[in-house]
Amino acid sequence: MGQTVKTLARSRRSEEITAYLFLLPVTVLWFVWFLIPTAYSMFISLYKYSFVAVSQNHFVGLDNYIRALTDPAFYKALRNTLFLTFVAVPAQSLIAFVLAMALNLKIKFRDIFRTIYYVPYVVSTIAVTTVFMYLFVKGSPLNKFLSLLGFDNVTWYVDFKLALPFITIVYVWQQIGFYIVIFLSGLQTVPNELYESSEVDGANPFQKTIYITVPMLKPVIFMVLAYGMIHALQIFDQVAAVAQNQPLGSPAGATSTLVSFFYVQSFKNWEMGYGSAIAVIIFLIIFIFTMIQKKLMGSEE
Amino acid sequence: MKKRLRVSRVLLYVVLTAISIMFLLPFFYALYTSFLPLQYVDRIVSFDKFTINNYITLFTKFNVGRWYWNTFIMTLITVAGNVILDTMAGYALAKFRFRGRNIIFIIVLASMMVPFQLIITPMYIMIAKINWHNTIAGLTIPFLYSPIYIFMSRQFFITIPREIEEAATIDGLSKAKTFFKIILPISGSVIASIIILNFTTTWNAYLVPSTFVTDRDKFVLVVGLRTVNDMHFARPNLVMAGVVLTTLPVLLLFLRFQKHFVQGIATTGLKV
Repeated sequence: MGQTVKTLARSRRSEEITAYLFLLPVTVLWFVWFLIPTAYSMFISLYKYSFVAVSQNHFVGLDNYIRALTDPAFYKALRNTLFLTFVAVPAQSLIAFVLAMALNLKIKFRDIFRTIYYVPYVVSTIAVTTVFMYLFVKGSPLNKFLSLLGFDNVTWYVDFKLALPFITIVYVWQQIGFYIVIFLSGLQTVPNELYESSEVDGANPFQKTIYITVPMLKPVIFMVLAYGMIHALQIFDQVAAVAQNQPLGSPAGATSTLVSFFYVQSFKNWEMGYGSAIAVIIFLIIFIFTMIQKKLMGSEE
Repeated sequence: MKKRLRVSRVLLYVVLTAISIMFLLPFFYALYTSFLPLQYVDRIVSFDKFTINNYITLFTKFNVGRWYWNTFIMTLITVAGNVILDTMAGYALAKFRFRGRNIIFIIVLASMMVPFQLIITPMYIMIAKINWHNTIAGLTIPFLYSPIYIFMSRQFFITIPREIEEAATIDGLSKAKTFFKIILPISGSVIASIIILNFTTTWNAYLVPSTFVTDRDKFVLVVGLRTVNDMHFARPNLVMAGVVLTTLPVLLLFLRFQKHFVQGIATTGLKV
């Protein structure tokens, strides 16, 4: 009896040791490359911290935060980012929802359609943006077609008014597939009996969508909106691609986003204290958005 | 009634096909243009006008071979690290009893919420301090693990029935051996998901490689492609050849592993 208890205790101990060994590599990496940098970022956000003039670095308290909140360029980046987010997130979510509903039907070539719809999401954003830049260049076949619909035949990404819509189009085009995947896997969880019994009651497809699918998919819809916002608020690669040899956010700040603005401060001006303060602000904005959404979704139930 | 149903079916196919064209057109435009001599760009020409000169130029004048190699090595090391380390951590969190398990799991979830820009500035300073800029180490070591795949593999391992491990214990296998010899071989689906998702993110990464690497010989493809686009925008055929070279490996891998790609997004995406 005592022997069994001892063996059990020993196997417990060895299990614990194995667990820690299994977790050791990621813990070390996480500590060095996540915890230290995150803490350090918050720390230097309180400093005038330049990467190129190290000797002049000194504590400035909340000055970097005040500077950001009084900087018109910051508000421009914020406005652009919010525009993109509030256009792109509803657009991509709605389109993805409709397409997922269609792809959930028993139709021919369903797998081929699905593959085609996912493909944009897996390729490099820089590559995608590059192709779109040529498609939307002045005099391109697509632009000639769009001019029939009343659009100006100009190069979109260097046009002050059209550059941000251009980025939004590229962004949505690439993201839709991801949300189709999410919606489709969500649709698998809706029990078929619900549809069948509603058919007995004479519900049409539209009613079925509104009264069964949407309520059942509520957690999935929340996830799509929340993740979509978190992701859209951090858009960067498209901005980098359209800038070409001009400063990030070109033309004249028309495509400047929160993350590109952060990037310019930290890695172009090497003002890493200011950059880090902006990064903390971005984090807070994302956090607040997520909390608001959680509240809204939670209170409806 | 029947007729109306058939009409709506036809309409559905028309719409789905139209959207397919919208999604595929940029790819075909890139592929088609990449084979054209400059004077035929934006014109419809027959196949006999096609040339592979753009590709040859990229390999001979732009060091694309080198960029390919750098990208390949970066991706290989990162994916290998993630597959091994994240599944080990995920397994520990799913199946081992130890003090601190819940706290560690909460830390994993919390880490997923911190945006990358909060990390990259100090990371850059650290990389520069230890002279890892312009090295593969700087592009890979900090990214050998990822909370999202730890979470993903934990969710997977938790579904494996206890009996399998109990049988292994009775056979005298240690907990560690059970994982490597019994569990991993039956975990192909989650491993494939990690591979395809991590491969695409790493291969397509732009922000970190463009910041940590400034030496042209050390560029990865995406960063190199951007410089070709910057400097030779007037040569769409050349740039599109670059686009094709950058996207092709990812596309092929995706077509091969699509099922696992979808599964990976579904298991993590639905629960985060």
